[in-house]
Amino acid sequence: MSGSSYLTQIERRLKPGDHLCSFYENKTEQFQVVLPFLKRGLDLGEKCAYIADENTVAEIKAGLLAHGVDVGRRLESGQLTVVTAREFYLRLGRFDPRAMMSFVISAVNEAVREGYPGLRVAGESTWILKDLNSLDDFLEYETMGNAALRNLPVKALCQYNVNRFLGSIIMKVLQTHSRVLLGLDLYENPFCEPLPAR
Amino acid sequence: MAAKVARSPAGTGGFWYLKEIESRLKPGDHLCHLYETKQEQLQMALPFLAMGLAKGERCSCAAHENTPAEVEAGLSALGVDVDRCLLTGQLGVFTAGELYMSTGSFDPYEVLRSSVSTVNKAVEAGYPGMRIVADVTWILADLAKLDSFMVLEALWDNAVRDLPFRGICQYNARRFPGNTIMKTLRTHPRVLVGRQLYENPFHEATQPGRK
Repeated sequence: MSGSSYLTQIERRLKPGDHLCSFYENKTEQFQVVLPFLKRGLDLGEKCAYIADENTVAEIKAGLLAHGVDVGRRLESGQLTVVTAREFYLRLGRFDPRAMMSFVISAVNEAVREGYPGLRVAGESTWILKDLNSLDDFLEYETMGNAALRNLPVKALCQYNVNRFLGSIIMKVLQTHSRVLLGLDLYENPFCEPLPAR
Repeated sequence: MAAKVARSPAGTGGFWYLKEIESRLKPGDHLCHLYETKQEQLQMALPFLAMGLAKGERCSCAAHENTPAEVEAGLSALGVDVDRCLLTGQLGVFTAGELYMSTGSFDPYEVLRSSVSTVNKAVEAGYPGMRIVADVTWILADLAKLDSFMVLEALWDNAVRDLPFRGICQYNARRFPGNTIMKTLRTHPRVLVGRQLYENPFHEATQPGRK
């Protein structure tokens, strides 16, 4: 299946407030999901942010270029930002789940104020492996994501390299994301506690 | 011959979750159980086996992180007459090495063949069915076998479909890397996490050997 037709399928099913995770074993598997995800957001006029860790900022920009994104122009206009996990998650020096979630929500609001239809974020999670003291806090932040982002004009994709994380962490990730991108499919995830209806 | 299982043995809390799970099991079920502690492991394995014994099924346990003696003691604590079940052959408690490497090495096709024949023998011997619990952590001692073990996991469903078989492969999620856990999710249509049974949408009914 070509990248674009797979994405049309998935993109049609995405909705505001989606808190997704993806699992991959290598860069090819990672990029075939995340780069079209971002490109589509840019094409739809959404504000997009990428948080890089196992790839460098330059590698992400190059990957987007290869997917036909006019990276220079998007960066210059502010529609696209590519930052490191250190700059993003550890901007306060240490990871604080509540402060981080407030920051994400204010970034969504700011994007809307600037006239974008919404915000799309994709982040790499491997930075946690270098800062394992933050693991529990990060998983708490992940747990908050489903309820906190619900109905906001944001689509968040948390990416996990399953070759680098222990099985028990992958299980916790699975329990904190209501929908999962795996291979080239989007899955409703029964292992995640459903949010109460409202 | 059915063993007697006390309805709510002291200190076991009654295993209400297993009754709910049990009511949803069906012949040919090949489940994986993802757990994090030895206690979680036993709280699934022991009542699952005790329930099978109470129903008159033949039961096998391939132990690894627990010794066979610990499994037998745990079953006794649930009211199973372990000695009698072992004597009659209704119960077998082995090490995972004995089960998976009976020929001295691990050959997924050989394990599959002998497992299917074990189920058929149980039926011929007059048992209504067979259940097996296997601790998969033994594979961590020799990770080179992991790929062929996943071949076995992928083949298993088709091999036991329609047989009066119920099996649980137990994976300690704290000991396996994330990629193994993802592969177990790809190879088991139904999954036990902690104390709950889930229909698993990530299961792939694909050809084995897929990387």
